[in-house]
Amino acid sequence: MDKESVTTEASSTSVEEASAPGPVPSGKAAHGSPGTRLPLWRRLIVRPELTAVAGTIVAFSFFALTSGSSGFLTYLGTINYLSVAATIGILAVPVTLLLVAGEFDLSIGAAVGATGVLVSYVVVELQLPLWAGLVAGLAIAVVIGLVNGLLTTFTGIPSFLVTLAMMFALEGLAVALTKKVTGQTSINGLNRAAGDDPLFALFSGTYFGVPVDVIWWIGLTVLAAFVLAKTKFGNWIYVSGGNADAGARMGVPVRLTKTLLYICTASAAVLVGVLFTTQVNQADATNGAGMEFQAAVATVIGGALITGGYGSPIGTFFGALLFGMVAQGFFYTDIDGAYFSTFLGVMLLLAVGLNQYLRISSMRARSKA
Amino acid sequence: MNRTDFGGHAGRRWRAAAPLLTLVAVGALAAGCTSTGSDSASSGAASSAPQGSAAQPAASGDLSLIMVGHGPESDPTAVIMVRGMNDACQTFGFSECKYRGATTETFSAADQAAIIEAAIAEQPDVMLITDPTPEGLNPSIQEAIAAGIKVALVNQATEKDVIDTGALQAVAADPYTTGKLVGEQLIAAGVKRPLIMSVTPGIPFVDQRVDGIVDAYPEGAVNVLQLPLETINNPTAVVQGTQAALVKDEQVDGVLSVGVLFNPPMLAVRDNIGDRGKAMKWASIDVGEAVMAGLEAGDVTFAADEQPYLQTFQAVQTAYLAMQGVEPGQQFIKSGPVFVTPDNLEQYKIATEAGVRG
Repeated sequence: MDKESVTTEASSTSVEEASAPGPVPSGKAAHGSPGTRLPLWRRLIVRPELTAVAGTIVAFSFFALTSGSSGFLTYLGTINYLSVAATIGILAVPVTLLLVAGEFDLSIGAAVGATGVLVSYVVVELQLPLWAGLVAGLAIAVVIGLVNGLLTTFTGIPSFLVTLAMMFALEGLAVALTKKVTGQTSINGLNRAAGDDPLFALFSGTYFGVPVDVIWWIGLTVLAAFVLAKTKFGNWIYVSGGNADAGARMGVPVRLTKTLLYICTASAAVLVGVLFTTQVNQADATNGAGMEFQAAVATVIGGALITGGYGSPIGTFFGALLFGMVAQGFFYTDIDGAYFSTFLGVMLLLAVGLNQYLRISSMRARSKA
Repeated sequence: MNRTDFGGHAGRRWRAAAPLLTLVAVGALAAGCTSTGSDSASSGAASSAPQGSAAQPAASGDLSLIMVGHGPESDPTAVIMVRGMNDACQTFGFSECKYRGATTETFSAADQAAIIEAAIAEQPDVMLITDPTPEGLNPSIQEAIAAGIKVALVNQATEKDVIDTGALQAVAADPYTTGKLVGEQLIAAGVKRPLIMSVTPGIPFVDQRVDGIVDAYPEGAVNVLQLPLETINNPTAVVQGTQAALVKDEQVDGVLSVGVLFNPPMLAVRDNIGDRGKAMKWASIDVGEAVMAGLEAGDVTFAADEQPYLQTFQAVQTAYLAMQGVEPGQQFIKSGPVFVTPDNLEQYKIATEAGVRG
């Protein structure tokens, strides 16, 4: 075996499979004779994103056919499901990174409502400029992230439970404190108070025909994919989820990585909280409830493993897109909207099953090659 | 710590008695801690000292009231009901006034019945109870009445429930009637093909409101948008869902929001769809800040208010009078809906500033 050709193989496949080193053999060590590569179709089929992309194409075709001329295929119809997908997608991006690092965050839904109300409170009730509200929101995100991260990494309590507790705490605090200051559970008027602020343009409006939440979604996805594939921090994320003990022994700061990721998820919640508020000029303490599960569904459909070490922000992008398309697509058809939940469950099972099957068969294929 | 630290035999007896003494001490503390805040509306199981028998007209300052609702205290309607309850308690001299409601998302009739029973054990003078599921709740309501507590039904209750349980009175709005009247109001405003922003069927009072509106119109004229429950806390999804429904049916000329949660998204849709939005009529059930602003700007045609404040305030008054020996003249008082329009808005605003309305 020629050393040079093996190295070339290794570096070219590692760029392609940058989203899936983890516990799956990357193929670097498993090649047989030099110059052997799996056929293109084989390499594509094992990418974690495949199921999500395929699902999106299937769903799109389905709704395009059944909704006919009722508007699904128009510009407005497209913006419709893209906007909804964006709200889930923005949350799902850091959730993906966190899941690759091996942890859950169930508190983001509650954080959306709580931080949204906080930002509105600072801007509308305290009459401070928008940047002050955003700083306050991010400061709270840091606190939430620190608590989640430090409790998870230092006490050994599963992140599922730590963040579940945080979710309950935030829910109660958001409602109680809002009621205390305004007598109601929502704060109205952010757009009026901050509409002229230059920063406001970051959270409202449409640019080149694309709504701002979709721009954030795409931007954050690309950023996360880059970080995961090309940076040292990305490696740390993989190691934290794939083999934290070995990583720690090698000097990878597992605790720091996870805590930073928790701060990222909480910050994404602030962004979505503000985006929700500008949509309707009102911050409600219950905004975002349930979205922690929707973000997790999008992530898993996108190919991430629940056990950690494996995942793809691009896959999650399509997972969120699929979710939004299905959620909105129903309205263009005559199908009863109550089937949405059932559809979601079946879709999730199919996606995860297919992902699993393809991954395992790819491992077998490589070990045979 | 050494076995003999407490000193031989005496020590052993002391150590055995310690747990018992602790229990007694805690019990004494709990009994001594009577919560006396008259404005505190706390949900949860904090118990106060027993009030003794509650049937005689007590000197003011001694009276206690517990309200058991089916929603969480954070629910916008509950917030207004609690305000009404607290104001009435202050007016009539109740020293204790509490709200107990849903603590979980899957709160059921059985859960509410359990809370009613826990409240009965505290022997308040008065109880206000919402009755969304009479089959499940009426037995517990009858127990409360049998225990000598003055009980009035509020918010979701019918005259039949009053007769069946023997409660003093019901002060409520009938959701079906509200829907019917709202439908008629929409017709009067010139809306021929309304879109109702609602949720998938399963919440009885919402379903009844929708039925009422649909029945007010000729067959097939009403489009009902049934948003999945998973998405109702996602304002973007609500806005986009409504816009999708409007794109699907170009003939819709009016939109009605079925409850306060959908009011801000409804107004956002109006802004988003430009000229078509300005040409359509927009109305809501429940008021709230966003709709108030809309009414003032003339963007909203009317808002139907079932007046939850009146429901609890009136109920407390009825119970108080009953304790003085003055029995209610009516078994059912309809609390609404009243229609707030840009014309009578000024009156409404006075009430809102006084905290009387939402």
